[in-house]
Amino acid sequence: MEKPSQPLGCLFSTQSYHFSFASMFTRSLLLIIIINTSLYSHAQYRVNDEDAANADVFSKKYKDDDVMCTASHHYFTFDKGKNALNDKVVVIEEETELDFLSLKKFASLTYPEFYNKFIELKAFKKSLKVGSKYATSRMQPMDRSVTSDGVFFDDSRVQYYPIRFAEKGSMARVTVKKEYTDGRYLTRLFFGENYPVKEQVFEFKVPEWLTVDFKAINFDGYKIDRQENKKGGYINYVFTMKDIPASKQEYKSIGHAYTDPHIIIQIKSFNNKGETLKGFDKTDDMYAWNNRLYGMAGNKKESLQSALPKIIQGKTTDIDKIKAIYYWVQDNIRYIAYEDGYSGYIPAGAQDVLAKKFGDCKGMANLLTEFLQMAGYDAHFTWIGTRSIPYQQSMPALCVNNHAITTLYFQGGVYFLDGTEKYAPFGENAYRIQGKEAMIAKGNTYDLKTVPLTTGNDHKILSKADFVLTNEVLSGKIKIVLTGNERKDFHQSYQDLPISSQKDFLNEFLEFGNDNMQATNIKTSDLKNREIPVSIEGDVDLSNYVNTISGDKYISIDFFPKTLERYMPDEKRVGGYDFDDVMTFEDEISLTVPPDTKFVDVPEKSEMTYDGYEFKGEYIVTGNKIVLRKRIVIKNSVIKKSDFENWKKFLASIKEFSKYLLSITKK
Amino acid sequence: MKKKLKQLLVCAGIFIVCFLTAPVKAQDFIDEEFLDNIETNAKFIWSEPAAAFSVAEAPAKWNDESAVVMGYKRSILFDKKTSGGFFSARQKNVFFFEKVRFKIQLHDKNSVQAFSEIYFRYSTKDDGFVARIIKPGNETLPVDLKEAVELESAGDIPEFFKSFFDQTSGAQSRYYKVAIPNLEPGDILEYASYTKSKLDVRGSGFVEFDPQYEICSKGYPVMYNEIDIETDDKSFFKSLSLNGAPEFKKENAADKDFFQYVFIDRNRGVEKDVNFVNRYLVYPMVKFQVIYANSENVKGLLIGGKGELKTGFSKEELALKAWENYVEVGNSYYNNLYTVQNFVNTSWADLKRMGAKEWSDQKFISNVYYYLRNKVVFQNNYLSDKVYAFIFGSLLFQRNIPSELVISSSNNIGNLKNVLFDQEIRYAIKVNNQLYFNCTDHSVPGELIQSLLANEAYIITEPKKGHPQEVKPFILPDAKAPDNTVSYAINASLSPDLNNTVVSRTSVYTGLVKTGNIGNAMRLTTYMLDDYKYYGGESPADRMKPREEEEYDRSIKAIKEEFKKAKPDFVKEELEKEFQQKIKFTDFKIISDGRSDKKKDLEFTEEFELPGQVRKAGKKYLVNLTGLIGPQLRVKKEERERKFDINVGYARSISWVINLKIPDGYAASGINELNTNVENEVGKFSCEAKEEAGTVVLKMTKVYKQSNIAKDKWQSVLSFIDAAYKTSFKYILLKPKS
Repeated sequence: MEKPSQPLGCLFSTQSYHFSFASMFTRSLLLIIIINTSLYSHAQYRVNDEDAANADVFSKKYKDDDVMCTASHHYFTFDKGKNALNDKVVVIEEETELDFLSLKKFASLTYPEFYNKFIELKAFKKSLKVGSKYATSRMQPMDRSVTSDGVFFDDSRVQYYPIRFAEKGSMARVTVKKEYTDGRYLTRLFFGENYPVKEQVFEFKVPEWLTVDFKAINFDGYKIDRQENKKGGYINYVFTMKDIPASKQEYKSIGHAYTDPHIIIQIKSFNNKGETLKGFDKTDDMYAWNNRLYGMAGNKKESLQSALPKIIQGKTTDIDKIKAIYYWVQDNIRYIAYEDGYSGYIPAGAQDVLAKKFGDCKGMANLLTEFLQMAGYDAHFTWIGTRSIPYQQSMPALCVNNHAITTLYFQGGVYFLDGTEKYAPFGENAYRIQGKEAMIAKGNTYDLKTVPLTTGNDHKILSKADFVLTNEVLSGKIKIVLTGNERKDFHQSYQDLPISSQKDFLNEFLEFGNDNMQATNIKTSDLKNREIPVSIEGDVDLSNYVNTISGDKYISIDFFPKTLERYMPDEKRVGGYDFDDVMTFEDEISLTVPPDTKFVDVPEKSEMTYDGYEFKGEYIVTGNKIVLRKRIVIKNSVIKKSDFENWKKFLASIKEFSKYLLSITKK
Repeated sequence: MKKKLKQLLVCAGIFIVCFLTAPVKAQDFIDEEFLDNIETNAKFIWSEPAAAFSVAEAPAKWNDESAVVMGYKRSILFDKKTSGGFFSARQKNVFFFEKVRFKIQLHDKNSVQAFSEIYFRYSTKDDGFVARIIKPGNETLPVDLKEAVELESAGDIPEFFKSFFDQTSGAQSRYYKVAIPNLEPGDILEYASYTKSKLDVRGSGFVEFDPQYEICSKGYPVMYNEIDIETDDKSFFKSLSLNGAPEFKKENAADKDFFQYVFIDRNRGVEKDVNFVNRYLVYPMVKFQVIYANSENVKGLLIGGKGELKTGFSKEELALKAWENYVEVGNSYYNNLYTVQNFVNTSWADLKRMGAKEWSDQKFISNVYYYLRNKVVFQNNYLSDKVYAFIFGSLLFQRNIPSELVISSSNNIGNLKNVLFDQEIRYAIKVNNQLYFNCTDHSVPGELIQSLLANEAYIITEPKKGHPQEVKPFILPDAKAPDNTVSYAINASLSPDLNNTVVSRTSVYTGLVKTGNIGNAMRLTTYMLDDYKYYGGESPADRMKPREEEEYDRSIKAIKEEFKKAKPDFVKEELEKEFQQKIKFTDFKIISDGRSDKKKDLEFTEEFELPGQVRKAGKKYLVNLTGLIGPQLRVKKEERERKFDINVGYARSISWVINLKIPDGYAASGINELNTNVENEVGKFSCEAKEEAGTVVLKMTKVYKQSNIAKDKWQSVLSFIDAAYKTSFKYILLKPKS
């Protein structure tokens, strides 16, 4: 039987890389190896004085980090070549050298290099420093697919080296050579890493035949040196940033592209034998590229024709036909993605998506567009970046868009239809694309339109409950109404559940996550209709909820949504929050007590309003009935760290208000 | 279980033929040239007579289930006699011909999603796979495999889709996944696979394939479930049906030299009981195993006769087999380098060097126990209890300390009469009246094991020529609730702003409750560094040169620093899981590590602040003091009907003494309201509350008196479980005195 192990991930590895360690190490260290119950090896054990001194200094500076990079140099050179589509393109070679320093004894680091059909990994070595020299390891890097969970098949791969450091001050060097077989796929370079970097250098040796731009993003507030030197037919651009702390993964963090300094590489054009060939100079170029790949989908409209009449059968109005098509795609096309090489950018043919009833965002958008066009509507394939990406379409780069939808021009309005957003009503957009600029294909030209933003008031969770206290039992009726994205999110959870679990899900929804609440006689709105608000109501019993002390009763009717507690930043939190959502919680909960009793110590009203969020809560007593009205609005999906003081006060005030129990005593 | 076959393969010097093992390679689309072959190799299964698979619709009674398995048939032919082809030498390989046919009606999107990707093997040219979708109205659409994608590693393949051979041997065969097109709720998905595998058995006396435990009820209702095992006359088959499951039946095979065993289960719904269920003890289940024997000499195998469907073994058969297995242990490999007997010899030499010959018997036994534990501490895996018993018994033998070999079975599986496989026989050593069970990282001599509590056992002796083996029935010791305890002494106060509860908790664990909790308590502590002291061993540094010792000390220091840094975060996470809220952690300290006879109890203190226990009512404060016992089990309405007997693991007692200092200027009330006492034959929950000298004192107890409880006592269980649950939500009131 395998034993549970000590969590020593950062100290030791379960893998063995060098089998010569036994002769190199003392018997005592072997014991430690045995302690860890697994073989491991260390990068090196002799540390020179300078490295040891550096480690002492930096370990004080970067207390939470085990390893840092003392020098990271990326050197880019440019050449001409052909891509897989046989286009003449710019080929970029990147040579990288990184030196790593251990800030403690027994540290480790896994250094990865990602590659795919656009990035060829030509050389990748690890060297370990012994004394003052580096000795290159003969071990080959690990190599494996890194296809993410949501993708059926793609070409994403990684090679990586686990690096062990025996001593504080041990050093290792990684050298990499890789080639971007089409320079457009080198999109951006971040200065920060998940380890501290003493000096990060990006150097570009740009030949005269190439016009390239380096867009500086989020440089404000950071000290980044930019040098430009002309020499022998080349211009050398050098970007240097020093003393960069490690980037940390945090819960609901704001995307790094919004906050962290980085460079977007924009290959504008290049000269080939007297001919100027375009790269991504203007948005037009970006569109031309996108549209070309879109055109390669190879749609066969005739293969769709028999399906369309069935989908819109019985629909007489335009709006009903459009909805029927949109909802059919949402409901019938499963998200299964093949993203192998250019198939990550070329949509699957609409006829294939229809036949298989699966596809990715491009495939769904392609089919939806085709169906709508065939039905006579002004629909267009559209590229868009989700809110995790901060760039506008004016930035012609492949990192601007990561999603595909359909845009419909209908009766003077513009509608953004997303086949991947299941249970989204026509006319409502997922928050993840709101405020983002869409690039709408119109043959040789294109439109840029912004998906409108909604407010917290458009996405509500309304809770209304009326309780009656009889003896020790609190019982009553409760109703929850969901609108906007809250309604869509509910459908996405509910409709994908096994039907055998759906009833329990509704019960739990009405029980507010309260262990004492038991819901029965559940009734709902028509849950097959995605357009109407979701309403769930039922009888609830809170039989274990009344505390009777010395004849008085103490009860809480404030079912504060607990989820907000997770967003209280602790002292270690480095960055802000991005909820990727805006919403409103509105509670109206009443409690009627026996006529011979009364409420005492009624909690005071609480109200807080900030730019991005507001809270109001009050209890109103009328005779033997008390009503709690509470409203929390999250107007901004992003809470910046600079706003944490207010945010903490806001959460604290909600918590304080929710802390009150109602006191009920005999008149 | 996998290891069993693997070990056998290694020990017997046999190996899996190379072409079966696919090298790790990048995932890619399937080679189109394979497609015809894959289909041809499996499509014959469609035309095999199988009435159960001709059913067109799942019964209406299961309309509210996510999906219904309409048919599931697995056929495995173990064949040593037929050749695998012209070039395959007779007697060299055992061939596995496996056929799987599976048909499921998908009722909702959840099941459609679950079966949107399926997996198949194409690792040899004989493997085959076909799949089809049957639409409502009976339109049948074949599943095209040309966009199937090869999988990079065996870890990506769900066990359900692996062949029996690959599951049991761990062979790295080549598998593909295919996205099922045009699949919608209401559809029926059906697939059939055929695989042929071979195992080189040259030089092996026998191969025991992994025991199989087929629990009849699955995640979806099953209309028809069939398992066919067909063996040649080199193989043996045994099976036992439990808890009302159908039995394997012996049937005539097409070839007179083959034996066929068929299990058929029909109309099986999904079980709903949630709490305190031991599936192996109560769910209808059949267990079975195939054993291949290469020669006529099958001595020592726990099998019946050729062609016999063996369903159990007598006391004598078990005892004999257990003894034979036990004595064979010495020749098995302790690790890759040496045998168990080598290990015994080395250990005895070590112990002698430490002066073992001079120790008293009791000291020797104790030291041997701790010596072996020390070895286990530094290993990845625990020893099997058979190996442990052999080593422990052999070392006692070296000192002429008489011991007895005890065999039993795990109470998670059933009692001795239900033992069907070697692997189900458990071993322990008895010295006088003391039993010694297999050790773990933290166990102490004589400590009991949950799975062996109060089990029927036999004390067995060596069979001698002309004398029957002695088999003495024996009952292993039980552990009652007072033996398995945790006592929490909690001193609580309110923070100065009266918002948080400041807690200092001392926990003392004994018996099996300690066993269950000591791993976490000792995690990220350096218990292993001094473990040698328990048997009087020497420090690793004792024989080091100065430079080595210096390096050793630096290494130890680094580990200690790392643990010291990581432990608070770990304890905080554990407390947050326990109380289901964010906490502020202050301190953790081990008082007694529970790893020795002298410090048998595990005792530690934790200090932390809980923010969620205090509520307000005007100027009054309400404190959920009873909430400091942590969340209690809530049994929902739908779980209050009980179908199966109840298994709570083991009898145990949990007690809390909670002291809350009443803040200055406040008076406490609501204390009497907390008093409760529910006690019956199966359990107890009580709370005694009082105020003493400005302190609220709660004494709470929850006792599970029995480990196994008949289902008709479910209400009795609920009564004390509910009492604990309800009490955990009570408040006391702190009222300003003025």
